[in-house]
Amino acid sequence: MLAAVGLLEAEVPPPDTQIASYEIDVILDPETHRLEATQRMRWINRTEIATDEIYLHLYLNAFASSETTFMRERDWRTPRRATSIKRTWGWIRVDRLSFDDGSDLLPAMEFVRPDDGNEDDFSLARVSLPRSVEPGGVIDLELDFEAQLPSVIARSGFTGDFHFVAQWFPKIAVFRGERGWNNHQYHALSEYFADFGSYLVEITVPDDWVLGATGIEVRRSQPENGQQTVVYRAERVHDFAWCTAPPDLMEVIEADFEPGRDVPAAWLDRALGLLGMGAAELELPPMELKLLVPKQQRKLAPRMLRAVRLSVAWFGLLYGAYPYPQLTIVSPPLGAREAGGMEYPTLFTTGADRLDAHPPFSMSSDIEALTVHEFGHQYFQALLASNEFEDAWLDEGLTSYAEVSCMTAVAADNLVPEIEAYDYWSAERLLLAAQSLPVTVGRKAWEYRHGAAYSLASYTKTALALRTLEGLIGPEEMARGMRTYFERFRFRHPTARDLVEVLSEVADRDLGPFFDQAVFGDVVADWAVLSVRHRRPPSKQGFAWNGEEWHPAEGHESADQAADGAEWIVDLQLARRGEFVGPVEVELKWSDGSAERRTWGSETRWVRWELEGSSRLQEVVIDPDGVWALETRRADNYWRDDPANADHPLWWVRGTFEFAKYLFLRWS
Amino acid sequence: MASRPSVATGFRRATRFHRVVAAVWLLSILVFVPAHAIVQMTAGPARADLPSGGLDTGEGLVVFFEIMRPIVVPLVVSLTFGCFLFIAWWVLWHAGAVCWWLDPETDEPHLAQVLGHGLPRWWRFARLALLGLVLQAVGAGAPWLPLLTDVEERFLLPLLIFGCVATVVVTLFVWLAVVRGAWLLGEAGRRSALLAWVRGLKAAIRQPLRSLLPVLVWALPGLALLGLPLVYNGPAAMLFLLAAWLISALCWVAFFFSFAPAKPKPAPPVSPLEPPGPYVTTRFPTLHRED
Repeated sequence: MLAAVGLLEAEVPPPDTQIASYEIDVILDPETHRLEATQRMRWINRTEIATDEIYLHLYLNAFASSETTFMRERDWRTPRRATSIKRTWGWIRVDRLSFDDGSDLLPAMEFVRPDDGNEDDFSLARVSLPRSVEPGGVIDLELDFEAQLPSVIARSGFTGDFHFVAQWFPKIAVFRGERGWNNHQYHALSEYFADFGSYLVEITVPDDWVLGATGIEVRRSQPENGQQTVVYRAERVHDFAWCTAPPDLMEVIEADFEPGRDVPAAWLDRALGLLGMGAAELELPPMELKLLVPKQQRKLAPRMLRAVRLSVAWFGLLYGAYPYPQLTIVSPPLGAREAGGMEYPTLFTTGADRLDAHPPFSMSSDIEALTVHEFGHQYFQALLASNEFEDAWLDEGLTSYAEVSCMTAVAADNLVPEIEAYDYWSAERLLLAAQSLPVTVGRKAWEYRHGAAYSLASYTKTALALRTLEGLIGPEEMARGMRTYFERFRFRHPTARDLVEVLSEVADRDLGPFFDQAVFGDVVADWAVLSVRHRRPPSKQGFAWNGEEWHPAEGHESADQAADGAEWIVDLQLARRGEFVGPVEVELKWSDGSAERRTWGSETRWVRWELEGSSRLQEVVIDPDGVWALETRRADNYWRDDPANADHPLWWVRGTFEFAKYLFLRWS
Repeated sequence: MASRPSVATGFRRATRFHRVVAAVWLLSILVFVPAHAIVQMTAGPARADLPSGGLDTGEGLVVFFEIMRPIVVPLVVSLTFGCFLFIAWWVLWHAGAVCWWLDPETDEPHLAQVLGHGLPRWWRFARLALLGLVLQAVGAGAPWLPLLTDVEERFLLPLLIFGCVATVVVTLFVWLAVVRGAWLLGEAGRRSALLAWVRGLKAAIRQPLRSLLPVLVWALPGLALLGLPLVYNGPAAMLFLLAAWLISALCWVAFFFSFAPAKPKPAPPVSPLEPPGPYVTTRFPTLHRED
């Protein structure tokens, strides 16, 4: 661990990234599932604008009643009706709030609802400060709060004795200078946005309970009165979550990531080739892994840990070494699934079902995909802290892109032999293909029609857009661009513009038009072979000019002669059926075995090519390499001269079986 | 009366009933022709343009989804209708075969005659088939129910194994009882499908090995021959498919007739010289024939 701490010191971030720091002493009452805490906060105004107010997120109040904004949205926008579930409601109450000069700020605190004006929502509070905080100024606040954990909902709460404590403390919103405070309520489809800082959290729980938290454990007290206090420290993080449960329910498995053992050689070679960097630059540090797993899922722990190690290797090689010394992984028990699949700095939750340990369910790669995805958030959420309220795709979409790329590599290199891999990119394309409406990405999280629309836009379409971009600019440029983006903006709040600028810079071309269409617009990519007609070269008729005079044209060869000469003129028409304008490759295969490729910019709606060949055109394929992952209507991309095919007479029955198998592997 | 199942006899009888075999083969295919026609007419042209070498699995799935999606509803409707017709047809030929076979007056199995025997008793046999379907669903589903509860890890694997074994055993015995029950249901005076099924089950349990032999020799190959053509994609795939399904039809008819009792012989002709009998004597000195 000392070595790891050394690593921390070696990679001290620029000072302007430390903005909101917290010291919290919290006691959990396992009977009532309540928290009692004292919290000290330091906030530094790193902007050029002074402010005389701060905003506090009180996320747990989103679970206070069926009338909060979160619950109303969850009720309408997700299939599961929140109010129909018997639950323990959660809340948070600030009992004391004092300024650094000792003045009481509690009377200056008021609840605000800037997004929807819902008077029953108490998830955001505004505090008027007694003095203005100038640029570079620092304020210290101290408060006491009490919080009731809800039965597990949207990542946090309790089930039985299992407690996952997230979004649990009053948290300062992000001040963006001229753009003001990022003051949004807690929405059903939204995640979070916070500044980096240091956390020192003292957690008191029953003395034999297992505990996992953001950061690293720095001190543990002797058990006293049946309780233990454990102190965690986390540097350069923007959130803090923890989990505790009795030892008969959960167990802790200590493991590690050892690069010499855990980095697949093929992946190292691939990264070296893509990034053009030296092996020394791609060297990864070792790290400690701590897995909290229900005893019922004990058999699955090796799979979870292997997936974590593969993730650390993939992301470390391609995007940069993971900068923290320890990673905690939590797999929630049965009944606490809503706590699964979520990310916090240096801690994330995965998920599994007991049946996943047994065939045929063990063939599904759900555990690996989920683990890789959640670890990916360590990069695109924990380190690149984009605004998840307003630009969820910057986190979820980039993470999904990296996850599917990683899973594709896992499948290609057969690194998890027990799973039956499938084409992970096609799985994403199928999700997009199933939509009846064009998908828009760049919206605020709560503005989507429902959860599926949010997920499709923020995860699937963004991932496919990046996959398409990778095909267009090349995997090397894409890899370098993504790494540059990560290195340049880690511990900061990158925006969409930052991403586009970095990728454009590395690819040395303006990628703005691509993002305008693929991400910020909702245009559909779709090309088609419109028609192909063959004809013989016509006989010459009338007169020909020989340079001096017109003379009667010599009669062309007869049709038979033309046939013997085997010359054909092919009229090929291609169409752009979607609104997406971009270059697309077209492969032409001739019956004499020759093939050629042409590129069509598709600026116009259609193009007509007149081709001459000594043989008939046999096949036409638009986008033969599947570069346009965004294009989901593909059947009309193909044309074949001889439609008498060798298809199985019952191809559709076989296809249905294949499809059913895919559905099982994807959703089992 | 439970008969002794015989694999060889089943085959002999199936060859004797070759017209029924041909009808089972042909009609079982025909009921799904509308569904196939819908697919071929709507999605077929799009398929015709796909590369001769086929597509990658992933691309294939995307294209398959695209071309099938618009016809899902008509396809499901026609498939469902096909399934109903298929079950109705199988019930009919089972009923016909049983009733024709147990009718001592019949001689040469003409198809029309066989089906004519089955038609009036179709609903009786359909009840037996429905009973089989219900028992299959309940019996094969029940062993998995404990998995829905918070069962301890150490019981999980045994429960999974139990579920798999139970599903196979239940399937086997439910349908063995249906087939054996069908032969009992054809006997004169039997109308209750439930009682026939119970008696069929008893017979299957009393003669487990003899009952299983036709399953191994006829039913499993019959099943395999149904699926094999889906795997084979070599030359003349259509011919192979039709041939495999014809043999499969033969297997299923042989399987069914493996459980048939000996065909009753027709009653000997009554001589006009002999008095009708039997006679009973009453306390009155009058002779009368017992009805």
